[in-house]
Amino acid sequence: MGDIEVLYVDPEATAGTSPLRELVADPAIEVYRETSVADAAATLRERVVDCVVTEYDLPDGTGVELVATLREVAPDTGAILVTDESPALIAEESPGGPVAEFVPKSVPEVGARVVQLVKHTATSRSQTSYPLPPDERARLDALATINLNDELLGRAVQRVTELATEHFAVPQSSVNIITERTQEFLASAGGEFEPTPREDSACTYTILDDGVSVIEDIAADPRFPDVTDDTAIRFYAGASLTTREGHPVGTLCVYDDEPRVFGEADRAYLSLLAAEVMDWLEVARAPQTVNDGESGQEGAP
Amino acid sequence: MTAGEHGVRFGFPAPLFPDGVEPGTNILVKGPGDSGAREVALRLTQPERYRNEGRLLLSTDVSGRHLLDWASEVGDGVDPERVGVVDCSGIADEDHRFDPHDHIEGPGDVMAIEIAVATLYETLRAKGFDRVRIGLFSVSAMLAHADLRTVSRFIHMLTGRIIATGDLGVFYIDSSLDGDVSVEVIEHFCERTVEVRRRDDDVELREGDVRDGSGNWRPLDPQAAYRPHHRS
Repeated sequence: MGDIEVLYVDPEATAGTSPLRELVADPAIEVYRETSVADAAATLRERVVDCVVTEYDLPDGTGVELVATLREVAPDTGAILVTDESPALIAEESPGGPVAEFVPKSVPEVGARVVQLVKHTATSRSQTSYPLPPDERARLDALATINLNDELLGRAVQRVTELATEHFAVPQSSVNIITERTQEFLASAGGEFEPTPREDSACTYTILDDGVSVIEDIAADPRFPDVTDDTAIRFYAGASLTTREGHPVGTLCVYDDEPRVFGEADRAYLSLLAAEVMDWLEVARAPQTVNDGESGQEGAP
Repeated sequence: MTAGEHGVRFGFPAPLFPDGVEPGTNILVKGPGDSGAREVALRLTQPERYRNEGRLLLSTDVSGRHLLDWASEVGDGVDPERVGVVDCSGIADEDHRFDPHDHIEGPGDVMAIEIAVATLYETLRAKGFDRVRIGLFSVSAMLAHADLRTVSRFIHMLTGRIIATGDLGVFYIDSSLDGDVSVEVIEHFCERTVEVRRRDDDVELREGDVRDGSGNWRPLDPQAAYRPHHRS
């Protein structure tokens, strides 16, 4: 089975037509097929694929409508429109359409071009609306080595979030893990948080650089268009949680419900707490020599 | 230029990137509107005469013909056999707008722009060009017509396409129009940068690399036939 999963949507494609032929023939690519907007959308709600390749003209709508749905259910998944419909017609029928790759179906090398773009889009995830750290793949590999369900880890980082809210006199704090597509909350003080798409997370940008990132007023930041003056969280400060190999796997964050400043001493203390969290995450990476709860013993940090 | 892992490196007129850049490189050129940054970016998109390179320009803040006029006054000018323009301006001026792109509503119509870019790219490749220098003038106009998230996704996709196909991307942004946050986000999608500034009558630039940081400021070579140009 190929590592790259592609949803191919074209009611008229046969095994011998490009670009389906080339996609199926490539051993790195696993192709799933649908023939309508409704069926493809249903599949996308059930299955995470790396890329959608779609014809424009579909029996119950258009490929552009499908891409718009894709952006709602899986915003980071790549989309490639492959069609012979005229650009003018597409623009007329689908004004202001979403960002998607395009390959004219009539070009002689359409199969090779689509395979080329599918592979790059899938492996580099080049249709996200945010930048990725240059070491994204190694970062995710490092994250996979951490036992995030470790009870000691959970209790320790929970205490750190409580210390953070108290020290900075803020209503909320959390330790966040940045997965391939989402932000997950390992611990939080001052409220429970639901996982969020990575494009909605300030931590997505924090892990691009070492150290502390501060957004004094999120409502004034163009990266977060959905945040308004009425949004509960207005201030953000986050420190990267970086492994000993240098891969950022998450953040320690504090939030306030109104804009505020964050001085050098604040940054230094947040970094100190982040280092404490990271030490615990490193412990949770180590081989678990004593972790049997029934024995009454627990692994030391 | 010597051949690297991905083929022959892209070369540029002196004094820009003396060692050239690898195929599949994206360069952000940033500077205030009157700094000469646009002209520097146009020079980076000029094909080398002895290479089989095409040139694809996207005009967002001026009409396609206007951008070609500017390009013709920079360096070696424009070779009409090698160049294609996607007019994304949305300017309702029949004398300056290229008809094939009149379905593009304006610089924020990202899907229509991508369709036009991809179609013209394949046309240039079908004409026999081995690779293409793609220039966007300017990112700022797109940011004025669409939100940062939409523009980021578009730039990420376009830079990714350029990496995949081994071409060259040049992205001009007027740093006086866009906030630091927006410039920084766009910069993350590019492997190299050129900052341009004006000191009295002299234009200075410094090149940067995402891994190694920025170099030192140095003057743009007066022999490079730089000519400041202002919108009329």
